[in-house]
Amino acid sequence: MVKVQYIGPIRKFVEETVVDYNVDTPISIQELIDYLVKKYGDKFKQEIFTKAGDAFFYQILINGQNIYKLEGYQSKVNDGDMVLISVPLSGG
Amino acid sequence: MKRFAYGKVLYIDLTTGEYEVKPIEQEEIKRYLGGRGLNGKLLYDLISGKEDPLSPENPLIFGVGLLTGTPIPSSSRYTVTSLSPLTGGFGDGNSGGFFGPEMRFAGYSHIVITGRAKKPVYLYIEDDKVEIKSAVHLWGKDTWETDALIKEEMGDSELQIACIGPAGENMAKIACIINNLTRAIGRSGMGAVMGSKNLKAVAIRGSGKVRVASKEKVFKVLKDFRELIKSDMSFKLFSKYGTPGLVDVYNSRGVFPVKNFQESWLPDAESISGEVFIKKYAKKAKACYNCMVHCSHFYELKDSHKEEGLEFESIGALGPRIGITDYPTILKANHLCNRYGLDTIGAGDVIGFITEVFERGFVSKEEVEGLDLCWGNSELVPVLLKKISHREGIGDLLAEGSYRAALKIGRNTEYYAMHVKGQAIISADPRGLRGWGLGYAVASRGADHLRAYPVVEYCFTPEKAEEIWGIREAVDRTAYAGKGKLVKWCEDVRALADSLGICKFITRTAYLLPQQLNQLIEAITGVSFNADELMKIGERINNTEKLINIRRGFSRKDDALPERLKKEPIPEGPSAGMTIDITDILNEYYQERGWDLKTSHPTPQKLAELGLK
Repeated sequence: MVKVQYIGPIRKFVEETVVDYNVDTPISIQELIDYLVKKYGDKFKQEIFTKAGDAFFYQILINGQNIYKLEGYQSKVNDGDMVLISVPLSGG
Repeated sequence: MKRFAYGKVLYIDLTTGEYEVKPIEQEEIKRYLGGRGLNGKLLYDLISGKEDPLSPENPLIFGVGLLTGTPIPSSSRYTVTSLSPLTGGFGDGNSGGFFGPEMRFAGYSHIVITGRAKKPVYLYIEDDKVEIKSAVHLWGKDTWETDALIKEEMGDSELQIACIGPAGENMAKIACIINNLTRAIGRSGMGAVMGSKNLKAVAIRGSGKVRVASKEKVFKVLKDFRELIKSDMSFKLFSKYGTPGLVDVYNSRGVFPVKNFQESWLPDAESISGEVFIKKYAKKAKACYNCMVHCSHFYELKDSHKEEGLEFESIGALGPRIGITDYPTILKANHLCNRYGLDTIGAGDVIGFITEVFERGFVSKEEVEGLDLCWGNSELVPVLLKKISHREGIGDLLAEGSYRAALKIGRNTEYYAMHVKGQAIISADPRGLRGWGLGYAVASRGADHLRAYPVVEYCFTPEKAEEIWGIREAVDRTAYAGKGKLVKWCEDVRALADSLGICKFITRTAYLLPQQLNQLIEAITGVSFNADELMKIGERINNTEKLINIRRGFSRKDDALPERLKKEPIPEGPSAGMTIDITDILNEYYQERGWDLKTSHPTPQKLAELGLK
């Protein structure tokens, strides 16, 4: 079981902000995204891979750690981990 | 700048009732652009540094950006600058809406107000006509009543009005100036300075046009702008949720202050999320002058009120920071702050401060008038806001802001005042945001995120960071390396945006780089700058503000975060265990700036390089 929290416009693809997924763990972020794309379709894929300048619009974190600091898209998600797919921090 | 006219400077002395209009030197525009930059320069030239911020001698300067009111999108901003009664040093606030463009249409780049009227007055400006009118009948009215009454008596519902409420009249040091009912010159206590001059409002009407240097270039800019904005982060998030969308963003990283920074994470923030605000309260998106981001909303709280809003900082300050996690209480408090003319950040901060020091036993029940000060007391919030605005009872102490209130209480309570230079920290915990922390510490107006606004700390890739600052870790929020370079760079870029009068939600990421800003400047003014020249202007603006603070006795000791943030780790959540110690990155920042490590003062070489003295 992996929990995914969605923050920002990507929220429109899911019923709740936090969704539980029954996937085999450990699973890489790349495998998890493939799974989510299969579930929610091409528009989800387009949304998650939107670019803003040089960077992807969404940031992906595992238990609060940006995957940049881990192993990128090969970072592993374990049972009970929280994955965050969110717009970047901003400042109001 | 042959076709382009920036506007004139209107100098008004409220003591004598005299005024005069002077042109602005073209050379100064090239050195400071306008808006915040020129406001700082005007203030620097007008003061000795010995003035009491609430004395008649302290000038209050309204300034529009170089591009305010032009066809450039999001060009609504104006800045009000003065010595701050809250910090004791350089102070300013910046606001959107429609007041700034109207001032531009009336033909003024700046209005410099000095002196003190014998009785309450307001300024009525209609193009070249300038009148000082009695406001005796308006004194005591809130900002909404004032706005309506001036429009009614002048028979003009389209008048643009910037005014103060009871908080400004009573010189609460966290008083703001309100335009368009809910837009605030929020920070630094500019409302108190206006109140000290017996100036209730500035009402303005302009019929002039803004000429541009090249229509072709303007159309090209607008076309490019539309394309760029579609993929911009700010647009995607803020056009739907507004800044309330940031509640989840901050809370998910565990940097959302709770109970006066005792905690920084809510296990469940759903009740105050952007999602709930949009679904339950927002009725329609709302934009400022010529803006396609439309980050604001018209919202309604049934059986209470309707207004424009809401902002993330108001949610944070009037919400979790005082233990409140329901929208009805936050919305009511926000509305009261708008009508009283109180800075929502300063108000929430000081309520959080007094609640904590009372809870810890530093002040007695008698000293707080027997009030039931506790976290999440929804019924007490409106009572306290009223007391602060009218300086009634305990409100007289709280109107000073948390730092000055702590100094008056003594008993080491300053430890619980979450401020820098007397200005309250915003609702983003610097313990988990190193670049932001440094930005708060060095901000010329104190504890402010918008001076550096270092969002590139999260938006740029490590590769981009290496390209600009030579350090990949600069974009890791939990790392220290490179933050001095990053914050210096960001401060200089942000000074440009403030001086152009373009909203930071456009210049935040889409039109971030100086060469991009030049496209806008050139199309409107016909003058072109290269990136280095613009960065130098940004640097000059920041150094000028620094020089004002030096005149006021500020030094390295004032560029500091509250001790608490160094000693107490965030207890729970995604940033659990984090503290912040800026000693090393402050050195890096000073080195980048060319400032003395011991005193923080600019070196003579740096001043010569910038043409300052």
